[in-house]
Amino acid sequence: MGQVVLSGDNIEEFLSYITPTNFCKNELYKSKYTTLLNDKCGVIDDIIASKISAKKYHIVLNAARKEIDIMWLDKQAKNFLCQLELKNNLCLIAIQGKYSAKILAEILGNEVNEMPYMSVKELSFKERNILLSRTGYTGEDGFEISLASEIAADFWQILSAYKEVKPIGLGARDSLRLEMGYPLYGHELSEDINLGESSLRWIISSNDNFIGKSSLNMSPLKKRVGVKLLDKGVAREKMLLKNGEGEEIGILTSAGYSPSLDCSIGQARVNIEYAKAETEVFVELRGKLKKAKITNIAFMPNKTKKTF
Amino acid sequence: MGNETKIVENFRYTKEHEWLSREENNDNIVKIGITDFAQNSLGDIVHIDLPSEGDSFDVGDEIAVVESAKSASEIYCPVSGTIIEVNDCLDSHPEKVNESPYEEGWLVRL
Repeated sequence: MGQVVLSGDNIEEFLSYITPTNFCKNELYKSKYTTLLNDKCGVIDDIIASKISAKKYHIVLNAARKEIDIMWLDKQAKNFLCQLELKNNLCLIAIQGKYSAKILAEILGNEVNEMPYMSVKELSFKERNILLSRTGYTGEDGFEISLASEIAADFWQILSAYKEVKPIGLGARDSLRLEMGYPLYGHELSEDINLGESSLRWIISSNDNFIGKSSLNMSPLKKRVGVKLLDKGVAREKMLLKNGEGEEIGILTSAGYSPSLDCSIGQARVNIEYAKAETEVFVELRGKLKKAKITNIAFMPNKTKKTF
Repeated sequence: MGNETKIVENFRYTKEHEWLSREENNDNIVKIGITDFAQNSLGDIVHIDLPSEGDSFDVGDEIAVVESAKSASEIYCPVSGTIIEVNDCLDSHPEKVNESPYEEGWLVRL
């Protein structure tokens, strides 16, 4: 993940302009999930922005989009007299799951337990400042620790010493976020997909104008939906969705096996006529049409704590 | 991988990590499955597309597809023949291929 700090007197107006989310009068230490938009209301990246002081925000970006995001932020910040500070020496460690609060409280102090979901706290580790956030992309209670690379390995080792803690990779992150209905940049989100087609209405809270607002698609012809395979097998991204007449009606943007539900699930971009939950469709899986249905984007409730 | 991979004496093996064993009473019938190495590489197997009894295959034809959480792997027929039995229990218990790749996790008899 990329990390930067944005600051300036107009920082909240700036963030409310480059994202569709309202940051004005945001509470200190509160984190928000949102998207950087281009002027066509396409998504440049999805980010988490956390208020670390009255005029400063810590931003987490997708690593694959970091260079593009930085160029974009740098260009836009100038219009609002805001400053962009690169934080290339910072690492991000995510610990997710029901024991994460207990374990971090042991390492960093009891205040960890009091943190609302989607909030940050400045703490210290080995006499260095670290930023702890109660955030994640799994739907579990969990945290992300932003810390200098010089101390990151030590922190990792301390976490790994707990029997409850195991290292895990992006395969697990992907099945968890699919179960939660979270989008993934490059799959469900891209510069070519209008925010209005991404089933992310809830992040649109900016009161005034924001970049791309005039292009926001209020009557989308395609929409991001959940898909569940009803026949046996495992659906994979890029498989086509078809209707009963064999016509192409959509495409899987992500898919795989859900360990929690013991079935194959995914997200798709489908023609609006087929976007309602329970609509029966077919997934073309290695030349065969397998029965599937459209579902709500989230397959399971999350286990995150209360927010601010 | 860490642990040793298991193989069974008297079985024949292919480069694509399949095994064949001849039936005791009938030289013309073989049982086919995937090796311990293969099941370990695939991870948790969640579904297997098996052929039907009576289907005929030439050497190299795709005979089955093993789906794990991370990928789908085609299994190619190592010999020519006709399917006389498929391991039906794998339909509801695909994990047998992980747990017992050489015994309960056999795929087809041909």
